[in-house]
Amino acid sequence: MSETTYLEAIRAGLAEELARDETVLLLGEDIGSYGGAFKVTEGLLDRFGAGRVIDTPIAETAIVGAAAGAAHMGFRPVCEMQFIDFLSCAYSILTNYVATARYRADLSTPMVIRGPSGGFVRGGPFHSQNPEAAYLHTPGLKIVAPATARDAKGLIKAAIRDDDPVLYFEHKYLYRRIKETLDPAEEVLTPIGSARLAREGGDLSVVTYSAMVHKAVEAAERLEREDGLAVEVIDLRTLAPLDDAAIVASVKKTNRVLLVHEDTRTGGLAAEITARINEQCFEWLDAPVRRVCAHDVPLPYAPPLEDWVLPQTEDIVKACRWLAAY
Amino acid sequence: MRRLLESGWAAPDELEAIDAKVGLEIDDALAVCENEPLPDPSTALSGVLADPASAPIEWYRLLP
Repeated sequence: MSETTYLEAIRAGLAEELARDETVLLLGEDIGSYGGAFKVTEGLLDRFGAGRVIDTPIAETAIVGAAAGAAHMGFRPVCEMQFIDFLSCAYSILTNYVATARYRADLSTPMVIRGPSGGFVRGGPFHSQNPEAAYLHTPGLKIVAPATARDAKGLIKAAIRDDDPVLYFEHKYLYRRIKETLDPAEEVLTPIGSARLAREGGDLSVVTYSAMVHKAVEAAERLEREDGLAVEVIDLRTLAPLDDAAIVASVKKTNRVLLVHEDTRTGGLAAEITARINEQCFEWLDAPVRRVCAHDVPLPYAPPLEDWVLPQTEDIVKACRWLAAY
Repeated sequence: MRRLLESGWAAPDELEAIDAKVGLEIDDALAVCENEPLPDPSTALSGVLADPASAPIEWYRLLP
């Protein structure tokens, strides 16, 4: 048993799958001898060789295209985007080609695209994005966003074994801040499409994912201490396909729900979840569904601006109090 | 730079002078940035579009 960071958990998951399955290979910018911009792939080149840990040019379209071709030919490639913001450079081949390959041509495309997303690190508008909503709207893609070290490992392994293209959004703020005890001998597999009950409660539900899970739990603990409120926190883990059953079960239990994400509000995942709650369990609500999301602006670089634009624990506390009092 | 020198388009001292000048400009610009106060959070929402000039404040920030 050892303390494993979120980043180390991703690396361990990659290493285990590389060792388990010879068809797994990694592609990305500086992932080989440099070990990746954040060192997620450090040591994997030495262990598995340049034929399976492949440094690529700075060309996201080429990375995704090469991976798609390899996937069609029986490999299970894992592409690293140095920052997930730059997945938009490969938007066309991802949404027009990869996402539609099975439906159009019965082409199996088991591939993973992973990379650091998210803010709270003073990265500015090109290195802090949460672009999940841009891909949620594309049928044919699965999307996961782990919040814990255990799920970071379990979801990367599950994504690699999945027969569909999976976008794996890892949060850079969590890389070295989140640790938990993982048994290296345990096979950790987190099922795709399954949410996790991060904290149990009966008064209201917070549905969230990725780094905001930790802020939501922090807010819930504060609300219990200061207000006596029992706040349930649902960690979605998978954003596509959504675990409707887990969301609906929590809404039916608490009758009040707050949706929290770090992505901007308009057209974000919270809007989709709100619609699903209205469709599936509107009669169970005692208060309107509310959202705590980032303001609708590009993420600014200056610390006071970034802090102001992104949702903070205090915002979740206030929003929960508003919902509880409704 | 080697091509500039080999072709005779610039002398070494000219390039060194340019390098020094640019270095000073960067140092000056950095000093200005570092000595400026951090921006007021209230400015975070302006400038995304010409019209409207500011994005709306999220509802939760208006709560007491």
